[in-house]
Amino acid sequence: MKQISRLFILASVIAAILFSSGCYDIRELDRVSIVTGLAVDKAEQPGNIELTIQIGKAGALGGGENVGAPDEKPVQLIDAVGESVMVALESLRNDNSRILFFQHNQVLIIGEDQARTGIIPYLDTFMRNKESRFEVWVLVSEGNAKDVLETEMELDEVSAVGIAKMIKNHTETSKSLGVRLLDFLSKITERSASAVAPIIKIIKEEDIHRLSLSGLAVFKKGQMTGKLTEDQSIGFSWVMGDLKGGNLSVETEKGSAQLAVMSSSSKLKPVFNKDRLQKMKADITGKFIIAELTGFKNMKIEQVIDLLKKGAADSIKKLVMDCYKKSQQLKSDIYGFGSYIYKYHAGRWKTIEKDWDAVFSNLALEVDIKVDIQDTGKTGKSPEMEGIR
Amino acid sequence: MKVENAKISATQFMFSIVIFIRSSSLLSAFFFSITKQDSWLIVLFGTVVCIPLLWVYVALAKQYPDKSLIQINDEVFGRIGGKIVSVFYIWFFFTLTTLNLRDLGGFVNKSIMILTPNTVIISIFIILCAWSVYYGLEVVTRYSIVFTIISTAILIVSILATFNIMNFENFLPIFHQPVNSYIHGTHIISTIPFGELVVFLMIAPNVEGKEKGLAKYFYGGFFIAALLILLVILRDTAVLGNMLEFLSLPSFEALRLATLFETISHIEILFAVLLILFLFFKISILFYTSILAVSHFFKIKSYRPLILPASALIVVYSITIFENVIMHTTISRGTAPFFWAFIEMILPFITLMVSYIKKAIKKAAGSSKEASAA
Repeated sequence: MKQISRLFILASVIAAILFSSGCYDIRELDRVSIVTGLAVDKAEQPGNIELTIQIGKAGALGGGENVGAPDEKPVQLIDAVGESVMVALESLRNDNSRILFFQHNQVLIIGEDQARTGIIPYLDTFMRNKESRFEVWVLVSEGNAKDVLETEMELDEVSAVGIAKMIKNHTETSKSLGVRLLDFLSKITERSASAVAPIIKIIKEEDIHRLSLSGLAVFKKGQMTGKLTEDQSIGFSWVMGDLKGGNLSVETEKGSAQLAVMSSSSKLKPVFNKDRLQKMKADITGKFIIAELTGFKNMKIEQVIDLLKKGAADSIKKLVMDCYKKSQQLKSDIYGFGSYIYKYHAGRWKTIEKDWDAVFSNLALEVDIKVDIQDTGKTGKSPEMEGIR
Repeated sequence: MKVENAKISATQFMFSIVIFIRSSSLLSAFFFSITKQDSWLIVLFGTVVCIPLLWVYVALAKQYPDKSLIQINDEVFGRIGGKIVSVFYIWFFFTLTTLNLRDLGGFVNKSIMILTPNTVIISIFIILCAWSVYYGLEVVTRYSIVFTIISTAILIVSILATFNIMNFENFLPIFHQPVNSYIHGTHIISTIPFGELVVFLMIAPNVEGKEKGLAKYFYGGFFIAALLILLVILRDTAVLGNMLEFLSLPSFEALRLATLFETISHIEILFAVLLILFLFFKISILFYTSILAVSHFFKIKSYRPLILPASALIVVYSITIFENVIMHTTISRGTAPFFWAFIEMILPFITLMVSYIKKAIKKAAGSSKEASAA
């Protein structure tokens, strides 16, 4: 008898532990606001920022036609002004009936004005906060960052999620490149102290507003110093050797072509002349297949390929040098040459560390480009070339 | 008089050492901020530095094959001297248990259950450990092999999953930190995870077949563990680069970044599982040795009555030991290695020397007696 009552007590204790624990800090979906995007803008009051938070509404999203009011917007924007991110967040918390839930945050958009003033003090919060993640995409918006979050996208109702998808697609076609918070912070704190982030802008066409990624914002020591155009950002990717796709247009006197990039690689090497840094050397290799040919009348495919190789090398060189000159103008070593020299020639780095900015803005870059055309696509010839009449 | 009669196999002993050291991978932040990308060298240095230390431990265990550390002290330093030395060890064992428990609470609090009070996590965990300790040494060590296999499998998976985001340039430049930081880092790693092996001198008398192969298993476990720690450090450095020194949980963040496919990503929960597994093991071992040491100290027949008061003491101790995390990090980086070095390195060395001298004197006395008898 005694044993049975003991067993009973034990069983109830175990049951209590099993069923009532784990709910200690439970957060049901109707108690939290899922934050999908964050935007930081310069506020009108000097020294303050305007923090905008995009909240995805679970009810209005996806769940068929009957769920939610028909006109209900799938997202809600709330904003607050404060001297720091935390201060702004606090006041947002006070005005919101729900707990803000940051784990699913997709993007961190910084308004251009704020980016030019400096962003380092505001990034600290995102680094320190237990809830935020380092894989958030960092972007810079042309104009107000808040407006970007406000813009609705055709297919993705939550624009922050749409932007995240856009970044992935654009990275594949090399038009832009995605930068995660971790990479951004890592670049900023390295020896070169320069980083890039993609620019997002709103394109207004009649009554439709849509978002577009174009070019890169250049940061130096946490301050935006300038912009790279789309072509320049492709030139940047060539030097970094992380171009994964996209097309390269080649113009020759006999005809023009589009070459699809299969892969690219790049090898950097500083050249020293008796301890003095003379120039940087970049050995770039690009592998292509032919995507489109026009012209090249009465030519054999071997000749065309030779011509194309030369033409491709020239266009890559132009892209690369264009970007390089711009970055020198901005005195921002976005390529990480400084870090590279520190890593491989740490002894010599000490002598140039102090006036690296001056050294970099006068540093010559020698580019050596190897083009490899691997395939001609489904056809070896083209209607305009010899053979087809 | 023996309190614990359980025997464990030499293999279990070896893998216990592996898990014991491996569980300190949480502590990598202590020296990452000091030696940065050269931290993997620190592991190698620490391993080399600790080889003579292990030799001292093994020599002590061989000298007194049937006695635990506390009993050895009584033997070597006499009744009063032995007690004084033993007090240091007991304090050390209890503090280690406490620190690890606090680490666990802090980790769970920081990464998984953000709102749950630390006290609740710590109390529940110590109950679990007390339970396993109640059933004795065999139960505690039996899982060591399984844990090693699981943890190594997870380590390999994590390396594969993060391979595409590794950047091997992150290791450069090698040997360009100030010399001081290498010494500092080596000091930390050789005292905080490696030197803690002194607790295994409490268990050594219970190892089966120790007469033959204790040294082999002691060194074996140590080298396997050092290799695993090295792999962890290499992975974290390659993945995180210069962000290493900023993060308080580098391994956790490294796994967070892992993306094999869209579906297999965010495998940081593996790290959490692993860590809780490890710390359960380590705290159980430390808890066991602490109360075993106390029972040897007072010559109590069984350590079991001590479990309850000791758990209560440890919980309170671990809540009050540090006011905050900053204090914890500062002490672990600055003061603790010196305290630990005294207890882990200097005390066992003195013990061994005294025991050798005593033996030599005895021998000389014996031979002089023989001579006089002749």
